[in-house]
Order: sequence, then C-alpha cells, then structure tokens
Amino acid sequence: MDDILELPNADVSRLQERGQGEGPDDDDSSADEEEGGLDWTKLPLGPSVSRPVIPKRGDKEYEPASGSNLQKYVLEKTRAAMFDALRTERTISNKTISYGIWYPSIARVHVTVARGGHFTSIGHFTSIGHSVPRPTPAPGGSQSGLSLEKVFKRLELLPEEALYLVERGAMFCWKEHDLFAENTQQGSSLEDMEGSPMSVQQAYAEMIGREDLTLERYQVYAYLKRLGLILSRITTLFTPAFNWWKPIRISPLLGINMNYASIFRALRFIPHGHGVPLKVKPPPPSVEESPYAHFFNVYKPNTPYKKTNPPVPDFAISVVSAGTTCMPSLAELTALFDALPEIPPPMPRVRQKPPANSGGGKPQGKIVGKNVQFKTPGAGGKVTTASAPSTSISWFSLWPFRKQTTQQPVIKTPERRPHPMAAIKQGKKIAIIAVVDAGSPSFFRFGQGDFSEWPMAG
Amino acid sequence: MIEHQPLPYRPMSRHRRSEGKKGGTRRAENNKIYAHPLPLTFSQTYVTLGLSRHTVLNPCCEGYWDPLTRSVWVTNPKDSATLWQRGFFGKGNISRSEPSWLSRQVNIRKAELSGKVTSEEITAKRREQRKRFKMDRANAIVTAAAEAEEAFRIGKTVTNPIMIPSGATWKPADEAPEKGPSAIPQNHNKQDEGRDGELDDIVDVEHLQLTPQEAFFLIWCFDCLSVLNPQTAEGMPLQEIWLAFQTCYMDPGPSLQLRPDNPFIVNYVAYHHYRSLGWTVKSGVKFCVDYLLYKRGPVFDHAEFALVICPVYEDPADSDSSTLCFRSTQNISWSWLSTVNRVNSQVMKMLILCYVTIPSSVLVSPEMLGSPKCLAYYSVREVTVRRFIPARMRD
Repeated sequence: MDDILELPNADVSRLQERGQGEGPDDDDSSADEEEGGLDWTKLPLGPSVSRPVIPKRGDKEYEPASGSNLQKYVLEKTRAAMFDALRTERTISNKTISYGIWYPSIARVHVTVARGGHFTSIGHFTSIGHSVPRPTPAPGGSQSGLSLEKVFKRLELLPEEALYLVERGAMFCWKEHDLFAENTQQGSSLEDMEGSPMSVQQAYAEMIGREDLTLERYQVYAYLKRLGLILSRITTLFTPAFNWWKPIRISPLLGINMNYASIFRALRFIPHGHGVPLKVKPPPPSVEESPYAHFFNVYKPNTPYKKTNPPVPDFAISVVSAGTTCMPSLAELTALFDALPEIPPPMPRVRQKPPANSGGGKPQGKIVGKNVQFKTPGAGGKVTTASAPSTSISWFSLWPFRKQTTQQPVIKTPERRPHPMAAIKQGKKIAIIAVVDAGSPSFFRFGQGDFSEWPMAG
Repeated sequence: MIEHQPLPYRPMSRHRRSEGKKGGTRRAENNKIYAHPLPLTFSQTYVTLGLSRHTVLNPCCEGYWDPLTRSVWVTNPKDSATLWQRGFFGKGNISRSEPSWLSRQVNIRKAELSGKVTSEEITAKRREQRKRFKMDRANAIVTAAAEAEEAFRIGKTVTNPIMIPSGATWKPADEAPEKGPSAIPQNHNKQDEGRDGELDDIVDVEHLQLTPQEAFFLIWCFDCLSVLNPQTAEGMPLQEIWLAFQTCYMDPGPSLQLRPDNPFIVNYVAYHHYRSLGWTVKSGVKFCVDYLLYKRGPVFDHAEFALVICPVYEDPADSDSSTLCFRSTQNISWSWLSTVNRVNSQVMKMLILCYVTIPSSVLVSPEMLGSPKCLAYYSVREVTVRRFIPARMRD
C-alpha cells in the first residue's frame, strides 16, 4: 500500500460516519459503531488509487431472511467486493521501502536504509562502541571483526516496531547470518546484504516473545499505531476528644455547627482517599513485576514528537490478556497509580470573544472564559456600568459636545474554576488498561477518584 | 399533609429544556419543599435588644426496628414526610420512592368522580400508543422488504418505496378507544353521594422504610430518629441499635462473634462518607450497583454516579475464615466489569468502584466492634471506570 495513504492524519472529518457532534460522554454508548466494517463495494481497487475515501456504511440486516434472494444477492456482492479488495496486489514504490537486519542476539532490527515518514516516531538511535559488543563495520572493511573503540550511531527498532513495519510492507527485513557478520558494511546496498530474507510469518515467529513482547501487546501496539497514535515503551484523624458515641455536636449556645455546611464538614471523619496508607498484606507488589505494569507511552498524533527528547506522554497503557488475568485488585491499582503523575482538573472551554464593536457584551452560555463589556459609541442606550461614572463626569464637564470616542473594553476575566462534575469524572490520575480478548482489544480507563476534593455541600 | 402532585418520575431528559413556565414553577416548588438537606432545621429567634438566638429544631421521628426485613419502619405520616423531604431518606414500601400511595388512591377516586384522568392513565395511554406505532412500523418494514424482494425477482428496482413511519409524524389510525374515559362519569354520577364518603375512609397502609445504614446515620449523627423495639415498644439505646444492626446480618447460631467484615459496617462506611460530602445516597439495585449518588436528590436530576462497593481485606487470613462471599475478594472478571459499565453508561451514569478496606480482626477485636469507634480503622478509596476509545482521543 502506498505509504502516503496512511500517514497519521488527525483530520476528524474522516470520522464522520461514526456520528457527528457527539460529546465525550457518548463514548461508552456509541462504542459499537467504530467496530463496524467498511463498505467494500465502494473501495476503489487497483494500483491507480491515489487517495481512497472511507465510505459510509450501508443498512444493517439483523437476521438471515429465509428465502430472500435479494438479501443473498446483496450479501454475495459485498462479500465478493471484500475479497477482491483484499486480493489486490499491494505495492510499494522501491523509492519508499526501507531495509533492515534482524539480530536475534540483541532482539533488535538495525535499519540500514530508512525511508518514509515512519521513522519520525519509530526507532531509536544507539551508539555502538560502548559496553554492548555489536558487530561493527570498521570503515574500510577490516577483517578484525568486533571493534569496540569506534562509536557509531545507528537506527535500531524494537521488535514490535519492526514487526509493524514488516506487516505493513514498508520494510524488508533480513535475518543476519553469523557467518557473514564480520563482512557487513555500514550503509551497504541491497546486493551486499548478507543474511536470509524474512517472510512476515518468520518475522512473527522470531519477534513475538522477545523483549517482553507478547502477542497481546503487539496487537494493541498495531491497533493504536494504525489509528495514528504514537507509542513508545516505558518505564490520623481524630482528635482525642472525639466522642465515638456522639460524633457530631450541634450546640446553639457555643455556636458549633449551626449551619448545614459545617455539619457536612464535621461528618467527614471516615478515613478516605488514596493518601491513606494501605495496610493490605501482602504488601502491594512493585509495579514492575505485576502483570499490570505500564508498557506503552502513548502520544496523540498531533504532538511534536522528538525521539531524542520525547515530551510528556498523554497516556500510559498496560496490556493484559482477558483470559489469564483478572481485574486488578486495589493493591495493584495503587501500585499503578503511584507510578503516574497527577493531572490537573479539566478547565471549562473558552468561548470566542465577540467582535470589537458589537454592542452590549452579555455573557453567552454558561461557561465563558472572558466576560467582555463594551460601550456603544454615541448610541446612548446600552451603557455598561463600568463606564457610567465617565458619562456622569462628562455631563458635568464643560465639554458638552465631546463625544465618547474612547471605547476601552473593560475586560473582566472571572476566575476559571473547573466544573466539579468534570473534575470528579476525570480523576487525579489516569491509568489505561488494554484487555485483549482473542485479538480484539478493549480499553478501560481507571481514574484515581477524589470525591473529597469536590464536596457537594460544605 | 402537603398537597402536591405525587411525583411519578416524569424524568426530564438532560438535553431537553424544561417546558417553559410549567418546568420553572415545579422547580421553584421543589426548591421550597426540599430546601433542607438534613432533618434538622435552624431557626433564629430574637430574644432582646436585637440579640438573636439560634436554635436547632429536631423533628424527633420514631420508627420500629424489624429484623426480618432488616429495616426501620416509620409509620407516622408526618415523620415519613419529614424524613423524605429533608434529605430523601427511606422509601415508601408500596410506592416507587416517596410514600405516595395515599395521595395516589385519593387521586384515582377523584379522577373517577370528576372524569379527569390521572397521570398514571395518561402514561398508560401513551405507552399503548407507542406500542401501536411500533406495530405499524414493523408492518411497514415487512411490506417494504417484500416489495424489494418482488422487484428483485422481476429484475427491476422499486420505484415507489413504501414510507416507514417515524415517531414524529405517526398518527393513530383509529380514535375510538379515546372515548372510554369520558363514558365513565355517567355511570358514577348516580353513586356520587355514596362515593364522597369513601374518600375519608381510605386508611393509609403504607409506611416509610429506612435501611439500617440510613437509620443509623440519622440516629447517631443527629439524634433525630428513635428506634423502638417492636415487641416492647420501648426506645432502644444507641449501643443496642449498633449491635442489633450488625447481628441481623449474621447467621443465627450459638457463637455470635462480631467480625469486622460485617456487611452493615462495610456499607455504612461508604454511606457515611458520601453523605458527609453532601451527596444523596440511594439504593442502586436497579442498575446492578450498590448505591447511586445524586447531587441534590432524585426529584431534581438523575444520579450522576453508580457506586459498587468492593471490600478489601487487610489481612488475608480474614478472607479465608469469612463465611461471607464478597464479590471482590475473589478475582473479578473483566466480563463483569464490562457488563456493569455498559449498563450504567446506557443510563448516563459513571461507574465508581469504591474500595473499603476492612481492618484485620487481630487489630479490631469483637469488643471494639461494640462501639462505632472501630470506624476509624476502615478507609474508603474511589476509582472511576470509563471506557477509553482511542479513535476519539486523537485530537
């Protein structure tokens, strides 16, 4: 397939058939829609494709209608279209294909020729010549073999990255032969590649299982990469005077707790929150050993990702298999949360400022970022309160004909406080667990909740 | 008895604006009726010379403890109304939520007499119409499919496809059934004189039921409820209540030793914590969860959160020796989590896992469990659960 087609594209319009204008709250209810298939009859076939459009889905049939020839015909047609689309020969221009060599001893693929846009977010540079002996080609093709003194930088791929590129057809992979290791030269061309070419099946067999890459983790990796995301791996309370038989004291005489807000505050003596030390035995396992350890850092497609200095990840994902692992217990969740940074509560959206000369800046809608008040020029009608004093001054001044030409907008920015419901729903820390059930991943977002920070009363 | 329309849950959709004036007045009424979040009220009396004295008024409600149903029964209608209106405590035993059986019966009788329709009848009529619309629509779909099939057989395409009715434009085919209610008053006019007296004869057989957690919250924190022993009709002291609420969850037997994993205490810890934050906590059995959290109350808006209580033993030896079977002590499956999450997201509630840690029985002895002091050894943690859809997270 042409690499240009599948460049990560944050164009939201391509998601149109999945429902427009749905808010984040509809995530869960409309989750089914995105798992549907394409309309294969509309996919253009052949190598002359420049940029296919993702077509709309057709009507859904709910059950086989016995004896309906129409339904059978439509079904056959769509099935045939699907197989035809899948049967086309996928090509890639030889100017955009990359080449790599798989080294089983270190479980990495060394990319000899890197082409295409993938490598802005895939692969890492390793300098050779320090502690890990890697077969280094000395310039000039010496026969001495391992040369530990020279420092070269070469592009290497982790197993899942390499497998992803091979599966997509963007990279040819060779497996290195020990016999020819000494003779390989850096930057060698195709003819000098020594080693046996690997098929996709062989790549799967070799790379799954190395470097902690299970099949489930690879499936999640490939799924998210195809969506355009960037992934990288990782890495007492109560005062002594508290009366347990009468916990709340309401005393009109002393003025204690004489309103609802203080009553609610006084009721909060049950130990709560994730800061309370967890005394569960056995002690929570360290996050590295548990099966819920974070495995991938995920970045949204739009982030300016630099491999040498990656930014703070948007999400951290752990991958488990549905059949073998159950839901994490509190101890495991606590260990997971401890390794995560805190996230600030979500701020309300900022509304667009109204244009400069519109009269009467009344705040629109409930959530307003800036509250802009203007004065209408000479209309005499809507004069806002902030400018009232100046009109009175001008009234008393001896310049009756002076027009109020100065239209200084009085911008009042009310403090933007996050909405309590939105803050509670987001939580303080977010851990995402991908549960792979026979190949299809479901993602659950566990948030460390803090209801105590956003009380409804008091 | 306050004269207001019983509230049969006309749920206002979150995205639909209130129906103009009607919605506004009802909300204003509700704000007045349900102004107090707790049964206690404050009053200010002016004593002398502008000095005011604040007093706290205690409604002093009464209820009977029923161990068989594990609930406290409040039979006095005034107390029932007080407890419901100030904090939404309890549930009428033959009503959906607020004890409204009596006013509904009165309404039904009045409607029969005067020929008007009750709200239940309106709802029933609306449901009947909806059922007929669905049948019409199904028939239209079948006809359209048959037409398309026939056209395919011939080899042509359907030129004038039959229109499938949509909910907005459908009108009922026949109007005959609507004449029903108007025919009734003629029959009853003859019996009017005898019927009038019937309104006064209705005996209220409903009572308000409080769960042990609600009852203990009211007794312990505010002292506004007194629980009477059903046999002796004497008030039970606080310690006896605390012990009775625990023992009713235990299997009867010779060795009644209190354990820290008693369901009453575990549920009470969560109930008290969320009540203290100002949430109204009601039963969540309708949605496969333990509790529902309302921001103000069921009459104002739907619940925002659905709470599942997951007890966690601090000492694994306790979980082995426990005869109870808490869900979260065994390994929870992803399919269960998916199911409950799906059910609750259909009704626009967020699922919260509320982990309550149970102290080890070595630390908290049965003697300590005899007083509410043991609550200091429990703790509450929340974890929110949502589905994460990567395709939507791209921007």
